Amino acid sequence: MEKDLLENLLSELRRGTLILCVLSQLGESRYGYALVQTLEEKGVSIDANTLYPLLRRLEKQGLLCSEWDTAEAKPRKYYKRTVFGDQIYTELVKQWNELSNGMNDLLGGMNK
Amino acid sequence: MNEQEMIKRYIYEVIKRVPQETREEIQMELQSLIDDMCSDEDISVEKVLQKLGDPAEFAKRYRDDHNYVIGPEYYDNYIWVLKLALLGIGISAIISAIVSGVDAFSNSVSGIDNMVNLFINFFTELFATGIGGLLSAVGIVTLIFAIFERQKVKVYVVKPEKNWSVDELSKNATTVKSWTPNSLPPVPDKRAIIQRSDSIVSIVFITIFAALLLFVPQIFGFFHYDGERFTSIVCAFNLDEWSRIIPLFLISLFVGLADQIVRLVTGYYCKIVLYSSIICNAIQIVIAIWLLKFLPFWNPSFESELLTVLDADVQNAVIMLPGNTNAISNIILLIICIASLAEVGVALYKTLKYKELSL
Repeated sequence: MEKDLLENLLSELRRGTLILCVLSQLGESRYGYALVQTLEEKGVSIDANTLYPLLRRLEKQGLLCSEWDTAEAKPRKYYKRTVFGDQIYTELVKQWNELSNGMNDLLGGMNK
Repeated sequence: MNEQEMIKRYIYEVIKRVPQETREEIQMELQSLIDDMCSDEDISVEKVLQKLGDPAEFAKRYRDDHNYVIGPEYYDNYIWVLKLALLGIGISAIISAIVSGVDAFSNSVSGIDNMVNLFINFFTELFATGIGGLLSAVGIVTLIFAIFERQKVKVYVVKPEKNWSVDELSKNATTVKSWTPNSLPPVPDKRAIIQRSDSIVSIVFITIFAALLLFVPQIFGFFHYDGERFTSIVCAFNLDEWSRIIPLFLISLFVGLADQIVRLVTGYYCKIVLYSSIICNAIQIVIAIWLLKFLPFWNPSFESELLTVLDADVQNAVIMLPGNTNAISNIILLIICIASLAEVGVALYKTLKYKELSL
């Protein structure tokens, strides 16, 4: 029970950071599964069934653009940040830094 | 089942649950994802699909919609209207059980057995009517509120800003409602407030009326009490044609119920109430004309049945009844039209006067 609660809280905590994680890696074109792997290497695990719908949503919101590469044997959909996505990303990073500084202050006692 | 078949089935289970226009692309997307995962991790298709999880859940994330019928914004009102409707159903179930009990009682000789029968009859009717009515009331009220819930989503969507060009292109753009204190609607003028009690009374009466029409239409007619028991009831409606009449009747009441719920939810005269009032009253007038003018609405033998039931000395009173059902229909239509005009008129007057139309 306690473990479930911790899991829930953790996934809620992660959920807010996912978009920033995804945006951070899409300065250059990447396809969905490559993104899953990159993020995993960096210690951020994201399920494909969360990432794929998220990519579509971000595209619909104008933050990402996509292109099908059908030249290869396997057709793949590549995503990349748009100019608007760049602006939003920059702003989000700024906010993230402020937030994490503030959080560090708040949690200062725990970190020692 | 071979692996390709399994993949095909999995993808189908996902795409059948997402909007038509996105299916083809999601299918390609999933196909290449599954291929990548299989070749990269060198695990069986089954394990890959297991990892991707329930296709229904996957599709739900693609749809990105809320999965509730009635949201928190409407929930309180929904529960409340439901209670009112159930109250109405309860009352009408008791009335119809009494009618049916009296009917059974008047057709029987006295005795203890018949008292038992009477009670059995009463409770059978009570439960039959009660349960049927309960289910329809819950269904109808839920339907009305579910429609509101969906419509409200559209009402509150704020138009995307200029640089959201991709958003404008997409058909079902989901935009976030941007809220500022300036967008707060003005507090309605006290004189524009619709009395909740008016709507409550209407809702309860509409429900009772609908349930009675549905379960015991014969009570809308003439009862005769000869001092010891009730005898034949002469119904004013044409019960032989009832199956053609009742659906229209109920649609009309349903429309009226929706109108009252709009009033109850908005709480004051504004353009939503005005439009709802115009539309609902127009529908009701059309249905009334249809029922009274084009369908065999009245019991054709009402008068003759009544005469056979009544004693000779009361027959004089019958002269006062208008013999021509056409005239009755016209009078009723006139009343309905006047009432509708009055209702729309009040809504229009109050909406314009208290400036809610410009909102």
